[in-house]
Amino acid sequence: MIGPKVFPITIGILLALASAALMIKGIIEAKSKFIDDPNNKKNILREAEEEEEEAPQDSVRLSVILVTLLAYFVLFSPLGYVLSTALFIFGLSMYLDKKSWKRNLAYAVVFPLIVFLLFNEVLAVYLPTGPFS
Amino acid sequence: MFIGTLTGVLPGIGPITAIALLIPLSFGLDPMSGLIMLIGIYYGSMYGGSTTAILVRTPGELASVVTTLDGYEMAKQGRAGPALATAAIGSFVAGTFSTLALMLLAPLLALVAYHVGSPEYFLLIVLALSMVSNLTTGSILKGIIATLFGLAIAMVGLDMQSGVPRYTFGIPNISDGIDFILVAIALFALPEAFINLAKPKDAKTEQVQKIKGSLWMTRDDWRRSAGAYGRGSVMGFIIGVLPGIGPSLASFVSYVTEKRFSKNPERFGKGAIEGVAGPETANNAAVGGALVPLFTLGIPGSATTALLLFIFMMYGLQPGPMMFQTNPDLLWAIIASMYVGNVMLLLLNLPLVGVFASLLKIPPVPLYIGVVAFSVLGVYGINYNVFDLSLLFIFGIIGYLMQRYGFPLAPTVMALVLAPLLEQNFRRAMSISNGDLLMFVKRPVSLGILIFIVLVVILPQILTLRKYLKNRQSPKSSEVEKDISNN
Repeated sequence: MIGPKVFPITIGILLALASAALMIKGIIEAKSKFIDDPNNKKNILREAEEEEEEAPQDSVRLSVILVTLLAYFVLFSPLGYVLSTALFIFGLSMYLDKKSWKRNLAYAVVFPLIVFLLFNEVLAVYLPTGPFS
Repeated sequence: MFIGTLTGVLPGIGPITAIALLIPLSFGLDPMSGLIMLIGIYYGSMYGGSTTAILVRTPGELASVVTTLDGYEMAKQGRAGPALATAAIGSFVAGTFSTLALMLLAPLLALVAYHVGSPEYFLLIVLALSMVSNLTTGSILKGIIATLFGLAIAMVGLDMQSGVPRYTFGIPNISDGIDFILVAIALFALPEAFINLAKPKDAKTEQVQKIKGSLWMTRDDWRRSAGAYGRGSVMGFIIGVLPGIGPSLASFVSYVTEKRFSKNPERFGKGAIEGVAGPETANNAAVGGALVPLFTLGIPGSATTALLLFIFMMYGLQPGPMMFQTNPDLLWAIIASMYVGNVMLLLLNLPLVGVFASLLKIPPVPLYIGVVAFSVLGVYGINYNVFDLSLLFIFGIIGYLMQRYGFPLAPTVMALVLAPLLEQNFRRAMSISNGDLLMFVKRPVSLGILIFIVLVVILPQILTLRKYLKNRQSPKSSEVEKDISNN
C-alpha cells in the first residue's frame, strides 16, 4: 500500500543524493581545470544566463532592500495598505535614488492610492485599511 | 495582448513574470477572458522582448538574445524600423501558422492520448520533468535539484488520498499547501527586482537607438525575410512541442539555420535582416507549439506553460484529452481568440512601436519597486492573509539565491504544478497492479516511454563524458576546435 509517506520520502532521498552529487562535482571541478563547454549551441544562451548570475551585486544594498521589504510586510496589516506601501516606496526609492526625491514622493503617494481605489472599488479585492477604517 | 507587449518590452520582465503577476488580476474575469488575456500576454511579451533587443541591445527575455546580434546592428545603421517590422510580421506569421497547426494537430493527439492510462501518464510526466531539468540550463544536476525542490514544496499540505497532513509543522496556514502563484511570483518576479535594484550605482546602460527613417521594409528585405518566416515557423513549432525546450532554443536554432542557408553568411552579425526575421518567427512559433502538449495531454513543456496549466486548473478545467470531449467550445474559442489576437498584434504593434520604445526610458528604480509592490498585491489577493507575505519573503530569497547560483527556475515551477498529478497517477497505477512495480515494464506503451526517459537522461551524460575524455588526452586539439567553432 502506498501511503502518504512514500512520495515525500522518495523525494527526500533523491534530493539528498542529488545535492551530494552536486557537492562532489563542485569539489572535483575545483581541482581540475576542465571547462564543461562542449556544445557551441548553448553558448550564447548560457552567456545571457550567466550575465544574470554574475551581475555585480552590492550586498549592502541588497540587505537594505530585504530589510525594508520585511518591514513593509510587518507593517502591512497594522498600518493598512496605503500607508505601509507609501512608506515602503518612499523609503526604498529614497535610499536607492536620492536625487529624484520629488518623483519618489509623487510615486509613493500616487501608486498606493490608485491601487487601493482600483482594487477596493473596481475589483472588489479588499486591502487592509489599518487604523483608518 | 497590449499589456503583454508592454511587459515584454520592460527589460527583465519576461513572459513568466508578467503572467505570474497578472494572474491575480484575472481572477475577476470569467475563464475565457482570463485565459485569453494571459495567452495574449505570453505572445505579446515575446514580441516586446524583441523591441528592446533591437533598440537597446538588451534582450527582453532569453528568447530575444539572438535578436540582439543583428537587430541592434540594423538599428545602428538607421534601419531599426525594418528590423522591428520584420520582427512583428514574423511573429504574426508564426502565430498564425502555429495556431493553425495547433488546430490540426490537437484533435489527433487528443485521440491518441485518450488511450493513455495511469501508469503511462505518470511516466509521461516523469519524462517531461526529466527533459526540462536536462535541457533547461547548463548543469543537469542543478536542474534535477530544482525539480526535486519543486516536488518537495508541493508535498506540503494535506495528503489528498488519506487526509494526513504532511510537513505542515502545525501551522494552519499551510495545511492547504503552499500556493502555486505565491511560489511563482516569489521565484520569478522578486529575484529580478532584487538583482536589478541591488546593482551598484554605476552599472552601465546601453544607448537607446532612435527609430530613424521609415518603418517600411524594402522589397529586398521582404524577399530575404520570407524564407526565414517559413523556416522559422516550422522549426519553432516543432521545437516548441517538445517539453523542456522552447522559444529560446528555437530562436537560436533558427539563427544558425538562417546563417547556414544564406548565400552570404558573412552578413550575419552586421545587420542581416534574416537574422531578425528567423529567430523572432521561431520563438513565437514555439509558443504555439508549447501549447500543444498542454492542450492535448495536459502536460506543460515549460515554466510559462506550467503557469497556464495552473490557471486552467484553477478555473476547474482539466486540460488533456478530456477537454476535447467535455469542453470543446471553450477550447476552440481559445484557439480562435489566439488567431484574432495575432492579427491585433500585427495591427497594434507596428504603429505603436514608438510608444513602446519610450517605455524603455523608465528608470529601473521605480520600475522594480513597482514590480515588488505588485507582487505583494498579487500574493495578498490570493488569501488575504499576511502570513503569505512572509512566505513570499522566504521564497523570494530562495529564488534570488537560485538565480545567482545558476539553478534553473523552470523545473521547480513545473514540478510544483505537476506534483499532484504525478503522485495521484503513481498511486492509481500501484493500486491497479496491486503494488507491482514491474507493471511499468510489462505494459508496452509505458515500457516505450520508460526507455525514452532513460535515453533522455543518460545520453547527455555520455556525450559529456566523451568530450571530457577527449579533452584530457589532447588539450591542444580542443583549443583548435574551439577556434574553428567560434568563427
